[in-house]
Amino acid sequence: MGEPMANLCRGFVFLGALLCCALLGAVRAAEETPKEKSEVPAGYEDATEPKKAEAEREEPMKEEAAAEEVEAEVPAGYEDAGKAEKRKKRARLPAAVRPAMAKIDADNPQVQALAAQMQQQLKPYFAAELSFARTVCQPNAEQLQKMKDRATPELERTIMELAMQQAPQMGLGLGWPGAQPQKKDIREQFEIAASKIVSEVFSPEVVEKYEEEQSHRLEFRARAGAMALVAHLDKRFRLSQTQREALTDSMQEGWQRQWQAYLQFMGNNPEYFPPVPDETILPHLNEVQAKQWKSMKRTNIGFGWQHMNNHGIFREMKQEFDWFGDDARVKVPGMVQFFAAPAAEFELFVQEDEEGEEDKAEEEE
Amino acid sequence: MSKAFFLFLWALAAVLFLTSLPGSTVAVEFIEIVEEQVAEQNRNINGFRIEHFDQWVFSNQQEIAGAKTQLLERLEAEANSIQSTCDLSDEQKEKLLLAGRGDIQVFTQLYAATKAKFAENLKKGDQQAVQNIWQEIQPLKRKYHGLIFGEGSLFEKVLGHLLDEQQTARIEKLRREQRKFQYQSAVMLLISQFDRAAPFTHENREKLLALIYEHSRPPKSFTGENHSHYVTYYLLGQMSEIPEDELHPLFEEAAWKVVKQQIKQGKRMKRNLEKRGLVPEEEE
Repeated sequence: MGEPMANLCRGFVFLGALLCCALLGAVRAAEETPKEKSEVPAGYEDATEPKKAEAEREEPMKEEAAAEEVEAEVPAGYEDAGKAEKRKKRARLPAAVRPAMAKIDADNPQVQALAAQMQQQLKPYFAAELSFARTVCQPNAEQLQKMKDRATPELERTIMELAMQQAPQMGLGLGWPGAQPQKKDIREQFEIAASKIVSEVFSPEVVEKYEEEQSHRLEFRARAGAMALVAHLDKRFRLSQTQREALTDSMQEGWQRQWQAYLQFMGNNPEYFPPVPDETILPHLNEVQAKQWKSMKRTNIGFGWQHMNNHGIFREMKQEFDWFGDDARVKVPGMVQFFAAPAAEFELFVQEDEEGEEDKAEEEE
Repeated sequence: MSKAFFLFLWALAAVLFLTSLPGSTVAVEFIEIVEEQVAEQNRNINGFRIEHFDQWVFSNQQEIAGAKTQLLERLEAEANSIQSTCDLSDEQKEKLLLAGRGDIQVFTQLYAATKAKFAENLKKGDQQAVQNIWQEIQPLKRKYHGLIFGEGSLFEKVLGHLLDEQQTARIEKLRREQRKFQYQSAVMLLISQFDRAAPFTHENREKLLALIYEHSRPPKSFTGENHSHYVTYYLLGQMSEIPEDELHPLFEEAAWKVVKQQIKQGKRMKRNLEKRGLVPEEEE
């Protein structure tokens, strides 16, 4: 064997040895890895690993949430054409099939689960409305009992209505024909439900008193909201006293209940400002302020019911009067009782949504 | 032999094997992937990324260019408001604008330096330093959302030199009005918040409003981001000045228990609130 051949052989032997070592190394490394991991003292583990895994798990959820958010941000009339078409189709359905579709959704376990979750979270808001009615109407024992008897069915009916409005947006159920998710303010739904109970239980004089109180309350809320928005603008625009007053009046006059939710978020993120129309603001601003207003970011966000998980400083408050007892403790199947309600009542409800749909169709045209 | 040595051998063997493949660029790609992974790790420590910095400071998707435009617009509005209140000449106004632009310049320099530091810490992979940067972001946020032309700014100093006694009094009145409006709005919002969970009758709501106005004063300062939360506690603390026998009857018993507890909490937070400038202004 010549010298070059011997060198080649040595080379192969060296490479072979190297590969063996490498293979051994890989096997050892693989064997040692779990052991070494367990030797890491508590609190000194690689913090990024579980977070990565968690992030990976959360990623699809985040994407879903982002998709929902994007969906929520799409202003009316600019939604996905397919969805709009679907809604139109549903709205064109003959009235006779609507209760059947609604019944299918009401029996859908996913919609029911959503309703159960919403009920748990939103119940205190209805309890607050009923307590308000109690304070204003001063019921006697019999009237109070009547109110209590009506409380649970009304809660369940309202929650089911909200869940069915919400469901299509979350990809659940067929969707109530003509339902506009987040079109109505959630608190408003409870106010309507409480007012219904009041009108059933009390005399017209007491109902009138209740309605008057309710209107003062809404007026105050709109004034407070308008002032908060003006105060926010004042920090940027440096308004004069006259401008502040004029803007407050103008915003109060055109107050939208949906703007209320923004106030909760503006504290943490001053960039959240509701989509107040230009005509409400611009007539009261000077040239420089108008320029600022036009460049200011305004967001059209449907915050949904999830943001209502915070009853402010009263989140731990127990209502003095137990309106629902155990009956309303996430008793999902009971909710379908709503559909056993008299047909006239149901039709009224659908009609209201139909009108909404017609308004929308007109806007689109 | 150590694990590192075996790993080194394994990597060497892998590289040798990959490079031996005819006409293959796999090895180059392999090295690129490793480099990218290292760079990715540097960019992303505990979920922090350099892209987050602007969102933290400006609280939106905005970048520094947009933020600067917004600050310049605010400066102009601020100067206009002072000019119309104090009859400033155009020359005086120009001086104010110049000072304000100086403040914006100082802000952008501080922003750039803090961001560079954050990027450097990310690159080094220094987790502790990356987390500490949060504290340095807070003054930037506060400046951007309110304090930039406030106390200690060039704008304020130049303004102090420009105005005579009478003009200063007018400016003080203007600011007092602004604070009063902010304070009234905060009181209304607080009552709205009460009303959501424990609704009042119209009469009781108006009584409560009158009582709070009577027994509290607006804070000296209403600037800075994230103030609304503290303002609520400031107001609750101020409500402790209202005699209990006047306040208690306005609430239902269950609500009163919560309100009473929150008033105590507001009082306890006094020192913390003072640090944020939330102290009652002196009476006129």
